[in-house]
Amino acid sequence: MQPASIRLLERALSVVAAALLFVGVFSQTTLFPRLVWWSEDSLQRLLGPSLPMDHIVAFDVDEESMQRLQSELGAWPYSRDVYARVALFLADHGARAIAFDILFSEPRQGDDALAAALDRRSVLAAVALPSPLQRSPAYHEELKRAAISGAAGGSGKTLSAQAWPDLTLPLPKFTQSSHAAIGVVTVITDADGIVRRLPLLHRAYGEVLPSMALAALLAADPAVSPEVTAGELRLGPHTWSLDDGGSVLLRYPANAAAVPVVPFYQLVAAAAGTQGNAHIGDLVHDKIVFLGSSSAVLGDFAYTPVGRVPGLQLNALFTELLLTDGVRRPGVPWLDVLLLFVALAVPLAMVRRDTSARPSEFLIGLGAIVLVVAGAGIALLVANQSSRWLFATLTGVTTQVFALLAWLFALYQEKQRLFYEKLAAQEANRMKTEFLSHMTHELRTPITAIMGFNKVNQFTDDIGREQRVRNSEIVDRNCAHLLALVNNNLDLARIEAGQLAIERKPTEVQTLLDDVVSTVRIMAEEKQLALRLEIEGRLPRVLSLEGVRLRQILYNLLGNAVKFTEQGEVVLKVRWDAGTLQMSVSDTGIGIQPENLDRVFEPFARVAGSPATGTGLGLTITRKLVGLMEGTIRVRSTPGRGTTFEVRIPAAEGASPTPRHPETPRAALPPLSGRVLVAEDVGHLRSLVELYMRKLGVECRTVSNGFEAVEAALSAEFDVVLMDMEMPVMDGFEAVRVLRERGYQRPIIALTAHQDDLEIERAKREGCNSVLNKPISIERLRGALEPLLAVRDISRASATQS
Amino acid sequence: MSDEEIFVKIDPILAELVPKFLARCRQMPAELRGAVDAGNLEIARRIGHSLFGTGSSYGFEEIGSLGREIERAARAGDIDTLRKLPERFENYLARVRPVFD
Repeated sequence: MQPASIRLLERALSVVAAALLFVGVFSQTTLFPRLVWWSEDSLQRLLGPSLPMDHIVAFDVDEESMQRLQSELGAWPYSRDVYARVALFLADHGARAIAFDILFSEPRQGDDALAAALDRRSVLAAVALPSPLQRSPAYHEELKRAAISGAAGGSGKTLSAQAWPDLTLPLPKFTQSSHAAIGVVTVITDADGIVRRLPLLHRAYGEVLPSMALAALLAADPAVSPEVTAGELRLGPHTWSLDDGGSVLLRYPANAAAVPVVPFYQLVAAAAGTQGNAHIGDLVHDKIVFLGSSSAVLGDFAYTPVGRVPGLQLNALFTELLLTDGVRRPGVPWLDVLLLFVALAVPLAMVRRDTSARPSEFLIGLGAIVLVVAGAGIALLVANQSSRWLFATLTGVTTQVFALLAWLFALYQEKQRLFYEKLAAQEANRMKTEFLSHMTHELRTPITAIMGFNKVNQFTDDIGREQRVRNSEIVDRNCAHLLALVNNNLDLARIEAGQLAIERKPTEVQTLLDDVVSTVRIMAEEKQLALRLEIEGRLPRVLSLEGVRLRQILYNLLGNAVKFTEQGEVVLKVRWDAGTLQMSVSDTGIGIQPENLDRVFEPFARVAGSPATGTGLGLTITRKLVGLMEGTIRVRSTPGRGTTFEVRIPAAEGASPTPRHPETPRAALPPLSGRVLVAEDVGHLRSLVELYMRKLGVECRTVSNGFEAVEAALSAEFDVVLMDMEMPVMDGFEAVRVLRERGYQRPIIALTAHQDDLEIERAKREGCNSVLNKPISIERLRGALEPLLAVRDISRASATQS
Repeated sequence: MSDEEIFVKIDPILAELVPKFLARCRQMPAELRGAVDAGNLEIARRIGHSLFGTGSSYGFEEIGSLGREIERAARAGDIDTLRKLPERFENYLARVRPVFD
């Protein structure tokens, strides 16, 4: 399984990627901008500032004015004399600019008077409608005249501006000599019909014209000239960032309806000098004045985030907004990224919590994302800064939802995992029980035989010595089987508990193989089977491997081969192949059915019909041992023809076997004290033991057979008897039995060159307290004697003597 | 067979005993042949058994394992092997050099 950190990182990345994809796709739909508009418009209505509205004043030819002026001026549209009169009045009373939100594109009575009354302060309206004059040179001249200074010509083409196919301009006569400016009054709406942006610059036929609001500002302050670059428009202290359409994003005030509007008839009256209208003159002083009509007849109005606003007021409002920082700064990429990161922090933290997260934390996290990210976005909005706060908030919320789903999925997986673990544990438990019941059965069979035949020998008098011996042999065989079973089981348990360490030592391979083959040969010859050892190619003399366990593997395989073969031969082939010892054991036996091949290594997996001898654990142990030695084992078989087991074990060519006697600091050990009787038939071994006994500080007497040993032990005091088991005249087993029968109670250590478990068992049965295997070394001798003899404390002994 | 010398590290406290032991060993191949010729495999087995116990105890692994092989071959009645082993034994005895340290 992969580390938890990588798993969590993967989950975090997928959750974020899925959320980004989801919100990314959503933001491309028409629904997303509507959501942005809805939320930001609502916020504008709630949080919009109140503007002082002290730069502007609008005179509205409203329904009332139309009624009142009906008798004097006739019906709308009026003769342009009246505009000439009010223009002069406004100029006389110090208006900074006079913007006519009326299209003077058709000739009408009074045009000359109006043309004469206009000057640099005047701004005339142009609209983005097809113009009948567009092909005339006078139209293009006028367009050039009206073009914003510094923006015309080549550079004008690169400026961002709202492009129109055509513009309808006022009659050229109005602008020809008066230097009156032209401002475009056409507004653009978003897809929902709401005016949120104001194009400051408009383009037609390659010329860039200002909007009416901008033109009014320019007319009001002719000393300041605009600096226009691709993304920015600078005018005196004001700098506005323009988008691709030359527009600015407006921040509407809460008091949009508070634009000062005066009915036009009052202005007409004031201009005519009628009593009671002197305040109009004061009102327009130093103001940018807008003239137009909100009359329903004209239908000139627009929808804004703060409601329906007539075109006249809107243009006045635009001017006020430009002057009072009512334009939002465009978004900054790093700010958007920061918001996004903040939004993702909570869901990522939730992913990190993994399955320990609680449902309530997801809810709290959701609240935190909305509060922090949306809060930051709103604060930025109030500070006139655009940002993609809604995108960030939505991404955060979606990621949180996906993190919740991932959490649910992780919980589900965890539950699944526990379920399967439980199943596996139950299965393991079942197998263990099965193994135990098998084992019990396997144990019961020899025990039953032992008890049965033993009873026959015990309680039946008339079966004769020969039958008794045969029965006893059966008991003996079953004991051996029982012991093998227990030993195998212990081996298996040690391997499974990881207690069986493999210790590689230089081993003479040829000797090992000869040993194994000659041992199995006895079995093979009993069944009149040929047993061959074939060595292919060169075999290194010494290999570094675990000899004891390799022997066990080969004994098992060869033993099985002999057991399951009735005629023919068993062949052990050995090959050394650069670092690998390859061995195969082939027989001409009954073979294994293909469907059973997989099962041969399972405990007690005896194939039906096969002779039920052996412990049923041999191949299980063999495979585990091969595994421990980092080797491989394979089996192939043809039923009726024979079976081949192939074993490959990695090994290194090693040096000669290391000498047996390690250099240990023996001097440090205190001497032992006591008398030992040593019975050993081989003189040189006797001498060796005597020498070691002297070195150990033990008094020692030696005899050379069992008979002498019995005599010596019964006639003198010895602390321990060390008895070789194989001796002439009377062997060690017999001698120990006689001694114990005569009531000898001192400890007896069996000395044996047999590594056979049965010999050791027998020695103990006869009455030996422990067994010392040959070869003998001084350390092992000491190890065997020490528990039975006193360790002489030299200092105390000398103190007692004095 | 090789006539290279075989150096075997032996416990120095056995220095006194080893020459006598090796001298005794030199008589063994003849005894073994005699036993095999006489068909007395029990004697051969005993020779092997005692060689194993003694040789390995003295620190001569090879003598121990030869002893083991003799014992096995005798038990198994493997006359062929028994006839080959004395020569291997003699060859070993001719080459072995005890080193006491």
